[in-house]
Amino acid sequence: MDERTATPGYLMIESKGNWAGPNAGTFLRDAAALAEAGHRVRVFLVEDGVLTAVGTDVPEIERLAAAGAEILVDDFSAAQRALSATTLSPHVRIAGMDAVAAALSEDDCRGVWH
Amino acid sequence: MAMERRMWDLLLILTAAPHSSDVVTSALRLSQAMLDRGGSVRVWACGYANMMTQDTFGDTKLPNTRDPEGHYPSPSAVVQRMIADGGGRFGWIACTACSEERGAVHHVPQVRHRSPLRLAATIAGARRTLYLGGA
Amino acid sequence: MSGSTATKRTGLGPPVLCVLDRAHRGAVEAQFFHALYGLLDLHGQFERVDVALRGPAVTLAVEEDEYRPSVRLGTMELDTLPDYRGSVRDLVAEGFTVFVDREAVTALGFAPERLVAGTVLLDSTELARRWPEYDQVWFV
Repeated sequence: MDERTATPGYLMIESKGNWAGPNAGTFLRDAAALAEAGHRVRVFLVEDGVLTAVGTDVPEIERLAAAGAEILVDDFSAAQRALSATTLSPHVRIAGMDAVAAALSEDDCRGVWH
Repeated sequence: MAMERRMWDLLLILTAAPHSSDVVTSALRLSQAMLDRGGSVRVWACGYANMMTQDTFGDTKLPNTRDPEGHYPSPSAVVQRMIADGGGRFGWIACTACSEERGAVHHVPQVRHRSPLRLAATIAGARRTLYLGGA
Repeated sequence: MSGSTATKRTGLGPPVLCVLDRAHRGAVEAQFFHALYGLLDLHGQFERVDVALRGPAVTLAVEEDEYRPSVRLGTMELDTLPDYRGSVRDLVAEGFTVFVDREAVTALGFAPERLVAGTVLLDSTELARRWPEYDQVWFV
């Protein structure tokens, strides 16, 4: 299949997140840049990436939301890390791997894993 | 008449080592999610991911000293089970170069072996490819 | 499963502080064989083993009731995934001091009262000042 469509959608899967070190936010800023350029962007936070969804003032999350990106938080990873005991950003929603499988089954969605 | 090549719905290129993070778990969960919606998925194991399918594991993990009677399937048993249950819709490929580089060449028989020279062709045989880095 | 075969302590090894700042290293492949199990298994050999959870690893000490250590793969329900919180409770029950980093708990928005009973909330600086109490400090 030819992936070279003009404005492909992106599923950006972040497994590290903002606790991973100095460059931790770079991938999510990539996602925001794509969204600001007009691509449909969905972000799926998984494993330690779900920690990025904690709190209400994470700059990368705010920028993604402002750009219209959809931000999903993996249910299994969130439960592993007891995130029901803390506050998540209002811009995210909990989802399962079925959401990832569905997105990757769409014709114009490219997946990128970090 | 040209033979029609089978197209897999998803190819996961798994490069991170087991026991480094939960990436293997995530890859298997995503595989199952794809299978649950009727799709097909193949895993191409690179690097130390090839440790997952060594036949030296046997069916079970080492004994749990805190639960000696418990049943704990080995990584290779988990992969073999998914292949058996997948009805031809789940496959696992071992990269021959990575396997040899790491001395991890004794794979269970259900695993296909491919040279990295066939990576592009394997990608071409999938509708979607997701590269899971971290080697 | 846990607690029934606590290791008999011989206490010959030196006092050790084990610092865990990285968790979740392979649910399917590790199952019970994760870092905290290793500490529980080795405990009896050492005079004293304490554990410090830092960074993302502090979540292992937060009580919750949503996580199920189980995943369905094929027709198999693999219900032997790591039960990290259970292991933290076991550590406390078996005499480990389990320190939990205050800064990380605060940064992640957890209330201190949500921590596993018996764990000790501590500032990083105060933990570092305790290093001389141990012959060995291992970043596990």
